[in-house]
Amino acid sequence: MTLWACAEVGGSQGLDGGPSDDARVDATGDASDLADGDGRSDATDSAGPDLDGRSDARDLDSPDSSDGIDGGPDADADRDVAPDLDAAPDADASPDASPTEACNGLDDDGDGLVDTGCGPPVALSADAVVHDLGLVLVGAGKVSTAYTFTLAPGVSGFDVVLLDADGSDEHMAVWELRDPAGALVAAVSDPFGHQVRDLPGFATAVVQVPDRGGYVPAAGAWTVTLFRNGPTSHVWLRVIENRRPEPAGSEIDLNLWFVGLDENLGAVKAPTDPDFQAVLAELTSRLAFFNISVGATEYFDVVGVDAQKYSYLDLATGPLEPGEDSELVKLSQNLPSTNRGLDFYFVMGVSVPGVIAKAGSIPGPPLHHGVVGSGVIVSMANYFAGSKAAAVPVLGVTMAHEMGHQLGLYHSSEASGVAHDPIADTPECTVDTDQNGKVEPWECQGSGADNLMFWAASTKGTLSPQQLQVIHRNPTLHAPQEAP
Amino acid sequence: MNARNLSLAAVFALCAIAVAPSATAAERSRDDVRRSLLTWLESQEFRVDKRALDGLGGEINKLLVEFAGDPGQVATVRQRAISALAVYPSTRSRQFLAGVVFERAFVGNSLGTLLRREALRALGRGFGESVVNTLASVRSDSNPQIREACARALGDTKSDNAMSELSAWLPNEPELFVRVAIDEATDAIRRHRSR
Repeated sequence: MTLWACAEVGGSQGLDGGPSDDARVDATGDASDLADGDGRSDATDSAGPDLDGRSDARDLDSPDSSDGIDGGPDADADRDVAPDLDAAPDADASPDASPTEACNGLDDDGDGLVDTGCGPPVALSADAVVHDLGLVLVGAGKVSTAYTFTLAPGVSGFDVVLLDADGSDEHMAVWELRDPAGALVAAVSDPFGHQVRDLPGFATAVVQVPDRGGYVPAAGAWTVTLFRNGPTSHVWLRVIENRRPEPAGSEIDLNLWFVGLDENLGAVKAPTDPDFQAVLAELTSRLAFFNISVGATEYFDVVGVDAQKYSYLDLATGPLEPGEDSELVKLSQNLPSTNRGLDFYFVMGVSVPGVIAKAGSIPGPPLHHGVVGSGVIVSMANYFAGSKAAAVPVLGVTMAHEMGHQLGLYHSSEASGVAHDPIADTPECTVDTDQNGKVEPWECQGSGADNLMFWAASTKGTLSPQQLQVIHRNPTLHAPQEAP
Repeated sequence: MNARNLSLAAVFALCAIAVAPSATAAERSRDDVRRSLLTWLESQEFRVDKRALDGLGGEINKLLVEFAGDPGQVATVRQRAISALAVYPSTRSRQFLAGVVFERAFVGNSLGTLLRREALRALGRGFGESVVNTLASVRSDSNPQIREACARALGDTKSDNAMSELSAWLPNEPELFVRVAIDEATDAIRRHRSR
């Protein structure tokens, strides 16, 4: 199904929208809450913040200890830090909050969680469930309180998402993630050493379970602790589940944003522009190999001063610093909550150092719009400044490659040949016959050069069975033909 | 690990994937080096890493100039080659980059805007104080995208003279997004000074 909706965003011409009443949010953070009726999860009762505001979080010095000494966020500090009322959405914009929890920056129902269910809107498919734990305090060099969410039986994957709530764009991370048996599944202090990779981000951090094949998350109560640079402040914490069992075929919706492009290529022209449609056809045909069909496709223009400012995008010159890409993606924050599309932003060019395309993060925060890391930037430099016939297939495959990152795939082999993804059945190329420090496509024939996620992906672009498992379990994808 | 001393920067360092050239890199023909460099310039992800570039073989500086000036290459290959010249701050690189900035054929078209912007940034990052006057001469360019890149390039130089140029420019700049870039460049220099 293809739906063309042309809209303009930019300057003061933002989209109307906001969450709809039908968005399904498990505002308690725990399905079992409904059973015990206390508004808190069972595990939160034991491991979450106490009602007196004190915490039993463990000390970073001894992350595995349970002594609780000098551990959690300072209780006085908790009381000293006033919730950022400006950062909280209007109550009108959060119809899914629990009945006794208003979106006011306060813990109205006394469960130790602030503004539960009041986070930025998320568009959910039928098999996705969000546990919106609300605003949580973290910072000042300490690990947060342990927060708990309960996965229902049959969950095929989930993402823990942290979102900046005070606009400070601080670096943050999931400190530890533990499964219902208490086993450590992810830890940012050893990002590659556990069942799931755990990398920090600025303004947004996401941990995706699973990020490899052969791992099915257990049902039950999981616990997560957080870390954030800077002073104690709030971040939004939510978990998005995909309850589709072992999905093998999926559909993805697309939002295509046109940012001050040449030749009047925009939301009006693009749906019928043969060259641009050829790019989409390349993407669609590549995705078809992976049993992914393209669903609703919507077209948007970025106009006015935003189009001027972002048509040539300047990335940060340092690693993990905010650049204009993190500003541009915020323009999609007012999309209606029924929009499940993955955002692609087409710009004239990206400066420093000539990026062709850039995923927001690995993985991106699924189903979110308008937050750092939530969209893919695509440079149209080669499309407008050269042969379109040559640019079209490369752009299509590049979009598929970046989509792979956004859905949780790493490079199957990095350029060095030393680092590889965590997936067991992707070929790992280590062959550097010319000893130039790079494993090059001609050196990796038969050992990964044809993989879509190879560092220098070819236009062939295959994916392994376990790579397919990872992306099909991402909540961004939904069942084929499913209406929003 | 002491919680109070922990910074996520340490984690970033831990996560960084080093791309180190082989210490025993064999002598390679110019064609081989050219092919390897082109593969890198064409890859999905590219970052400027002098050690890795040097590891490809000899004469990278000359090859980058060749690619950057070759109309037969796609725009992003030329753009990346220009960007990489920032880590080869030779007289030849500087002259080439300045030539891109002032090339008449690059005025009024999208390819030219792309390459001129990248050349400005490469000058700022690679040559610092020594190119402030060159950069400042572009602040009256008719293309606001060029002026924006000029502002950011002045910020990249981290120099006091650039700060003066930016301060003098700000009240006279008509475009809002360029003024924002000037302001951000000024902030970047201030932050650098305060370190």
